[in-house]
Amino acid sequence: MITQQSPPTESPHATGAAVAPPRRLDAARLREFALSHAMVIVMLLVVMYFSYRSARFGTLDNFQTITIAAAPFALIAVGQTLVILTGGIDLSVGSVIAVSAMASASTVAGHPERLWTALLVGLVTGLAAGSINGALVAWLDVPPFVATLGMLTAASGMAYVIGDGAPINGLPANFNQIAGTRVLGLQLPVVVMIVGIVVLAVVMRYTAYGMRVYAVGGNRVAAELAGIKTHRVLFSVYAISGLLAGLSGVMLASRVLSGPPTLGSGYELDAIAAVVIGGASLMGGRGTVWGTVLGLFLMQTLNNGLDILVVPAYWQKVIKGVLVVAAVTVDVWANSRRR
Amino acid sequence: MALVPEDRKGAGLVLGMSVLNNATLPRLPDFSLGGWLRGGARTAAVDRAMTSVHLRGKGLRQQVGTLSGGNQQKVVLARWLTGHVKVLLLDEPTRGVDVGARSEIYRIVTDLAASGMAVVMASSDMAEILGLAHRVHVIRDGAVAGSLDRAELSSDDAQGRIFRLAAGLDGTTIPLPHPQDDVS
Repeated sequence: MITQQSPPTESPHATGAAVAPPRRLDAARLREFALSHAMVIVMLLVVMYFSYRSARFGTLDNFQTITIAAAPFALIAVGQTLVILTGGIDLSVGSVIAVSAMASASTVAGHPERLWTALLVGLVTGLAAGSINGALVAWLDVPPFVATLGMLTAASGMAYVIGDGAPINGLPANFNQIAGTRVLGLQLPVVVMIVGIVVLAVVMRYTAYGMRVYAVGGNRVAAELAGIKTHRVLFSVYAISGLLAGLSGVMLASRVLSGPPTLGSGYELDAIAAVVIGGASLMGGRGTVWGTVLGLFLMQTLNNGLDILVVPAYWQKVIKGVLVVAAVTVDVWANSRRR
Repeated sequence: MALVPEDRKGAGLVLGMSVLNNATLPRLPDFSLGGWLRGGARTAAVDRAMTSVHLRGKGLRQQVGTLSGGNQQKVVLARWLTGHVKVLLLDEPTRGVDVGARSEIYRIVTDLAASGMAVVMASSDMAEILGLAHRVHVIRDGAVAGSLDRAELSSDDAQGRIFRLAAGLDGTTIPLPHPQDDVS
């Protein structure tokens, strides 16, 4: 009662202002740091937990296993990052992997010596599929969800058409060279993954193109008025995503030495999950390649660790689903607090 | 030619990007070499431009969305000042801008005009029009209803004339439409 009735005096406010802020600032800074690096912290906790539970987990051998498993996802996840940065989405990458792999496999099936041609055919197939997505979205204003959903179905169908409804088996053994070649002791898919990640991370951070992508995603009208050719930027991200899916498809086919039309099915969801866990906003304009890489490796590490601990696959799916939603919830919450 | 649009948040700025990057956008070709951003050159040029308009903020890395309305508008304006501009188009440049920033924006526009830049401003703020313009065209229903030159603007009746032109009451220049005209 007394405190309510007494008029506010100068001194409590003054001392409150003088004493409290430094303490509050430190706590706030700590929280800010924890929130903005939430994924890194979660990643460290996951790694620590698995290392504690299993002696095998922390070995270099196992790290290589994780890396090799991550490689086919890494390229499409990075491509997906660019698309999501523009505020779009590419649902077709899984099917584009399938159709590129089939195109590549069917090329090499007839001509074992044409390894490079097979690689090129796979890349061109991916690029073509991505370009169709890009053209639909950029110039015909088809919503990305719809355009790439159509491609998801159509490309999957094309994969079966190429194989006459069946997997292409009995590929010449030299096709395995693409995925089997070792560079500096690393398998080629891993090298391609590292190169792809570094190149795109640098492009997005240090080039005019990267800035255009962020601008188009952040505010398309403002980007247009600032003189950016937004149609071209939109087209390019889908084309890049398709090309990377094509590359991923060729390497997967080479690894399994066959062309199953179901290859890559469902991969688009893992790629999107990696991007989202990595802190990108589906509204566009916010996110980084490094964030996606972190998100991807978090998922792959969980897969691997849960496998080692012999957690049933069904539970693994449940855990992954919870992880995606939790990551986005924390991110949304952190952002609303920051403002 | 540079444009400062009316809808600052919708059309002028990418709110999630930094002051530096927003200021870079319209001059991306100038600030990049073979596709690579020229870090030093653009930081220096943007810093100079933002200093010249007395931008108040936490530095070039600050997110534009966290600036006040007036300071956001200064960014929209100043980002064109990093290079040569012949014609500056302003659309309601002080809408939603606080008084302090408003007078600074007026000073910037006056300085630019004095330096030889052609400034075309669309405004519905009478004080702004009378205070800044050398020549006024009153637009009504998508057509120029009348014009006032500098001498006419300094007369006491200027405000009244502009109002009459805008309302279509100036019988000498605009005949009042008759209902019969529409039927014919």
